[in-house]
Amino acid sequence: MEAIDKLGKHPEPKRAGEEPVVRFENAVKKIGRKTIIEGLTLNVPAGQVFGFLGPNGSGKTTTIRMMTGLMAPTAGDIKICGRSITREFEAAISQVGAIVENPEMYAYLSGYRNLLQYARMRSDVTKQRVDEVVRFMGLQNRIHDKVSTYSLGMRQRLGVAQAILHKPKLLILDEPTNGLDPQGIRELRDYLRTLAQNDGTTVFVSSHLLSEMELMCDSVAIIQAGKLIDVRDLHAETDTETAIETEFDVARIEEAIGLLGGGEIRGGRLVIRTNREGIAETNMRLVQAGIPVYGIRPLTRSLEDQFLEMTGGGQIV
Amino acid sequence: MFDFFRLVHNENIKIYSRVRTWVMFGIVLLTSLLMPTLFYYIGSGLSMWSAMNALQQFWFLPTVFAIAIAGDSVAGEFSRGTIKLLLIRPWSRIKILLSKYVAVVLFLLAVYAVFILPALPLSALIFGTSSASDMSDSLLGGLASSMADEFWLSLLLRMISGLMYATIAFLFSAVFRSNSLALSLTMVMMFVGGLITLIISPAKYVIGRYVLFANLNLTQYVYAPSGEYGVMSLGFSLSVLAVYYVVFLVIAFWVFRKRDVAA
Repeated sequence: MEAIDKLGKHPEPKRAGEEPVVRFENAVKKIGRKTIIEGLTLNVPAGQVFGFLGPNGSGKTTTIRMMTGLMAPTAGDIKICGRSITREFEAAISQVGAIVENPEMYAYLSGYRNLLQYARMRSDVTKQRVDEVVRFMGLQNRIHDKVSTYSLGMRQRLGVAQAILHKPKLLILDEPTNGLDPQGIRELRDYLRTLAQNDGTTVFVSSHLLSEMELMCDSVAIIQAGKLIDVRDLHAETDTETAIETEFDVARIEEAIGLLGGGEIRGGRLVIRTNREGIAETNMRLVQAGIPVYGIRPLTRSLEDQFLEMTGGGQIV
Repeated sequence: MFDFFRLVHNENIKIYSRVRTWVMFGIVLLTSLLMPTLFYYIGSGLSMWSAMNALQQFWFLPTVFAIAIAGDSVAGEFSRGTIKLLLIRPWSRIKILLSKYVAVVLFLLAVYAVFILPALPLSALIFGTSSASDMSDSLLGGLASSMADEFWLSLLLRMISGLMYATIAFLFSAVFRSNSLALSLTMVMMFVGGLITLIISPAKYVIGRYVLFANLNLTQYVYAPSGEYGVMSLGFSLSVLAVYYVVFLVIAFWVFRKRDVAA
């Protein structure tokens, strides 16, 4: 009976039935007469790397400011681990580590002394923990240098370091790949994965870079102009049943169509709509008939295409 | 409570690990050491305490530096963007702001200490500690019975004025979140104050007695218990300042607690 009640309350599937780490409850933000966020309702499941995707100016940073208590929602509420960020700020924020926009630090202090600033603000962060985080982020060689001498990539790492000092349940990163070189982006991706997998940290990352999100995240929520458009699981089991369009690069296309009894020619290639098994079977038949096959490619749409389609592509800002 | 002092410690680090803070201390220290020396060469018949009283004419130096630190306290975090990382800790905004204010008051005490303490033994050394000329005519009928009294009393009163100016700068810093605006507004108040008291003279208008600026110059009571205008008293001015002080702090804390952070 209890299990059924639970299911009734949370209709959407969740990992191990855990309480979501973040719950947006119809959060609204108006600044002046302008509505920045329109009634955002969203659950962020525990233990995931959760992407928050939207074009520039769609309200990503405003949402993060509300999640971290920097801005108060005009209406609605945001709960972190069940605690309201507006009414129980200290309890809610103690579970959060974050970088909001750029990782701004005290440039006249060393990286280490910056970290100590934040360590002193909590009773549960020891010096050993600070050293551990410095090593985890690979900062040990430069940690005693002044932050003013750091590159953007190192500041970003120091930013992540201050955010994970207290082993937060929720790590919020606002556009973390901004200004990073490809290697930096790859490293960021790696340690976010490590945090999510080893420490069970839920990571909430905002970005406008879709390809980046695809590589990094388990799920993404897509917002546009302050409205939630879609939430999707990026690691859904590969669907073997549904027919998808598949492109075959073959010699003698006309003959192949005759043999298969179907298909169309697109850009000099043969396109057939079939499922996973059908692709293998088609290939076999072509080869057996002596028609050379040079390549097979599923014509799936990337998240980027879907994203552009959903957000209407060329929007007027 | 121990944890709260760690916040104050953080704020102290932010103040004292900057070069400019030590430039300020350096200037104040030089003034403290050079002035008694200069008085020795140009003055005649000066005693230790009259030299110290002359040094106090430079009171604006530690005060202005305290204003600079107070004005930067909150606004600096906004202009650097570090306010965001500061406010996402399990501390209420009230406690964060209070720790900043405590650090500003500590700095005021420190800079006044650097202003006064080196000059005291130096003056004693140069001018001697004899009390033969320790009384002056200007003190007759005032609150001080000797030049030493005059010195300590004016120092205390100047530090109270300094605290008021630093608190005003802190208020502007928290409300406008702009370093330059906080600084320049407080400086304007320092200079325009006298002008406003001239226009709304406390001697002519009762309301003039309640204007902040008429009460900021507390040393007027050292020489005349009823003040420059003969219509007020030290107790009166201190009470008026206390009311302004509370109002300034309430506004600063209220605004800082309420407003969205969009830096």
